[in-house]
Amino acid sequence: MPGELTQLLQAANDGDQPALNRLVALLYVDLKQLAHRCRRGSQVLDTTSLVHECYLRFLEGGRLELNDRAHFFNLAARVMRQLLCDFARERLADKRGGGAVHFELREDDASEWAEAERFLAVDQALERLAEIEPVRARVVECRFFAGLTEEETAEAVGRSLRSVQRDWQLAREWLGRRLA
Amino acid sequence: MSDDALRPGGALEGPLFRHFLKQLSEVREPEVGERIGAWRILRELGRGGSGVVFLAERADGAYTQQVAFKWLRGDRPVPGGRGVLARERQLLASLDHPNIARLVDGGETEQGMLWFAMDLAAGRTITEQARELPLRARVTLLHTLCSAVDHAHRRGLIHGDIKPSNVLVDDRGQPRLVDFGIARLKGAALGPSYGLTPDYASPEQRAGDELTTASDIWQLGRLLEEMKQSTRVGSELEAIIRRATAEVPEERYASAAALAADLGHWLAGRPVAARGGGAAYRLACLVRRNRALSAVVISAVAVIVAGGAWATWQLALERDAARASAAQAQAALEDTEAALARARALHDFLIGLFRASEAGLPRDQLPDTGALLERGARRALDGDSVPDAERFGMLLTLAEVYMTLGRNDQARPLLETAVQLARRHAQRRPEDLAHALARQGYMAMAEGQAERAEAVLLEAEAAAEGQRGAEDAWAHARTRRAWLTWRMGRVEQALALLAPVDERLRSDQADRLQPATRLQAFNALASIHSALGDHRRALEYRSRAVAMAQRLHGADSRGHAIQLANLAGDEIRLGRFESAEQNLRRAIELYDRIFDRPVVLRAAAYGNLANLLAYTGRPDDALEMIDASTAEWAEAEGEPVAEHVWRDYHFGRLLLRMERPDEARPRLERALDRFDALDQPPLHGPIMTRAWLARIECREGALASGQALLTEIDRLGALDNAAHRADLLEARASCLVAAGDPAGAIEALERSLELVDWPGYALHRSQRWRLLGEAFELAGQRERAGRAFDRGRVLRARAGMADSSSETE
Repeated sequence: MPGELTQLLQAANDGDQPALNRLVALLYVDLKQLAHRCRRGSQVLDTTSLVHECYLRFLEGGRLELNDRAHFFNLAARVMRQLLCDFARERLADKRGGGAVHFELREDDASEWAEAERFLAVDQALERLAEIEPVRARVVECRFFAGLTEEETAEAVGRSLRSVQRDWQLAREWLGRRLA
Repeated sequence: MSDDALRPGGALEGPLFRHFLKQLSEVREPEVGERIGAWRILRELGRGGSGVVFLAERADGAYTQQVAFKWLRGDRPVPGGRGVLARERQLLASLDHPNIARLVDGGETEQGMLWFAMDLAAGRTITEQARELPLRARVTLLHTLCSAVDHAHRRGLIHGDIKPSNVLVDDRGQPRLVDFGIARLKGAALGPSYGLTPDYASPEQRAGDELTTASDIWQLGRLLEEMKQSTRVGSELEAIIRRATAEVPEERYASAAALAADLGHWLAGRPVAARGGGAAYRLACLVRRNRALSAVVISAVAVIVAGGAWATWQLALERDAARASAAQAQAALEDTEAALARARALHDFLIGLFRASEAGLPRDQLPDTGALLERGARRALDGDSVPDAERFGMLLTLAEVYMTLGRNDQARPLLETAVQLARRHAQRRPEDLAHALARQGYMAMAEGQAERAEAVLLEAEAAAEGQRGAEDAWAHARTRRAWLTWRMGRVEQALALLAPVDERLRSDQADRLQPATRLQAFNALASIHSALGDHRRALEYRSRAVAMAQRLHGADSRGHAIQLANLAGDEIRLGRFESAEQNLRRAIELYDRIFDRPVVLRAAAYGNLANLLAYTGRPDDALEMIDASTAEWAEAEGEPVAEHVWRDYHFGRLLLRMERPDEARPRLERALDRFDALDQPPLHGPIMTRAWLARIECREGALASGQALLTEIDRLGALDNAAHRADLLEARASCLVAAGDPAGAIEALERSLELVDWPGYALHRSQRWRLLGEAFELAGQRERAGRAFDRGRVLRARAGMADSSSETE
């Protein structure tokens, strides 16, 4: 009898929307815990490894099969990209909303907005890339948005380590040209 | 962007992600099981950048209802403006349109977070759905959507965030717009451009200006652009997109209705546009549409609802287009001018009615419908008021309204005058004559004058047959005649009559028929297939009729109620009792609201409900309901209740089915006397009454009298309704068993069971299996008899009938 997580992952992988929603909700809970820890620890710089820890804890809880790990990394990458880009849009909307409803202007607002714009530019460019080189787009999703390691990315996209390294390099070059 | 920024994990290390985490840690989200307002959170459905969507149900026990509960995240509370929010919410809650998910409730949490409870809409996003559809169907989806948006705009409501994820297509292929007005509610609280979607933000939204209807039109245009996907489309559709998404709001379509109208043109004009006759053909289509009567009705509604500006504007636009290519379209121009004159005359006419309201009425109070109609009818009947063509439109429109209200006496003189007028111009406008006659035929049918109805409808068909531009009128008349034929009990013939209409409905030119005609045809086809026992096809047609009626007339309309009641009929046969009962009660509730006097429609719904109650083991309720049904039927036809011929027929039928033959017998005998006194009773009346009586006689050993009744049936004729034929076979089998002929009885029963194998007819079938058991016993086949009895017992239990002998199973 496979655990709940395995079932959810398989269903989500088969395109089952409720299962996917449930998984996102579960992952979100973990991210929230992470957020709380960040707050307590005030100065946390390496958020990538924290998020990464969060994935691993999530995976350990579920007694997963090898295949499920791939599904999970895939899903995590998609979710992180979605969450971050949604948040970026929201922040930019705040900026456009103007001062009337803005209570306080944070110091780092300007750099945040610049970053938000960059994220959305990458997001859009990835859409294009996905049309011509879908695997490369997924590699960027895994590496850049989700902070997965090369090995995990290879698992997620079902390619060899070597080809993932090559894809990452080529995709970065392509994106660099496009976003220049 | 620097290469450095695109490093592994780069997205997780900047200020944006830190802010995201900070927000995550600060904001308290609703939890499963928590109660907010009148709602309890059940589970999470999904989350996005601006909030979380939960499934929630009413927690105050007022009634059962599940909603999509949207909770808007945000790191700051709503600054004041509660009054604005409350007003806007009230307006939104008043939206009632089949293609818009309603806002049910809304509020703020103590921390000032906004939440909204919306109708639960299921389905895929419109762009997902679009991938599997041909271009034409995609444009049709958008066309439907435009009408819904227009409905809201007319009520002063703006969506503000039309985009693929806010348009869900259900499994019937109907699009539904969700999150109506939420953008604006958010705007009221958080500024006009809060949380907008970059790809779908109109130029003025991006500039941070206030939301307007023009912004919705831009988004509809943008959606159309996305939905055409990589399909290469003609210059006409491109022009529509360009106009809808014009940079300057003033250059866009003036209303969603105007955009819808243009999409409608494109849909109607397509077959010939491919042959290169684009603009001219479109014009011809428009002219045809406006020559048809229904366009006048539509204009009338538009005039009443929106003020005349829109309807006349649309026609004026076409006139200008026609002028531009006047050389090749002189004739079309004349027709357009005529249509324009008609619309204007109708407009002036209707406005005049309102202006001439009673002196005593306060300025802001509308005159009541009855007074308006009466005044309108007086003017339309007065020959000097306006030219013939305009008068004809008014007469028919008013007659139609009266007929819808069931006031045939008031409609009759209007129709007669309309037919006279149309005869004068039959040469030039055959479709007018056909339409007017078709309505006259329908009225005769409703009044039980079958022969006159048939003659009038035949004349209507003849007037329209093969005439250019009269296709819809012909289909309308033919559909009415098929319906009449079916009502007369000639089911197979009715189906044959509808075959050419059905063929047209299935072709890609279906929308050359007016929606009202299509609705009638779906309705008739569903009813006929149902009568023939093909419930699968019946349901197929019926669900299209239900959707069409809802779209055409609204969810609270008489038309929709009729289709719901009819749908319930098929559901009963398929054993879907719960849904059937719901639909029947909903239909009755609507009838109660619409009619303040007895009508046959409600009587029929009561009758179906009585059947349902009888088939689900509620005999007392069933008898009460059939009493209400037949009483209303008699009252609707102006006959004394006790003497109404169908009253005893239906009582007898149900009592016998509920195994109370002693009570059924006097009822059926009285019904038979009444039928025999009638000139031309519908065939199934006298036949079925005899069959049921024969069953009683033979069961009680009065073999000779039972057999005599069956012989009379043979003389009367044949029925092709499946349920009737199965009943008849059951009666024959009863008499064959009594006469000691098991082989004949077995054959008759097997045919009967094959004819009616509907899950909902468990009661009928249980009785037939039991009789089959008796026949097998008589034939000495004890094992088969045992199996038949068992089968009967199982079915009997399923039908909710108590049976002491079933305890052994």
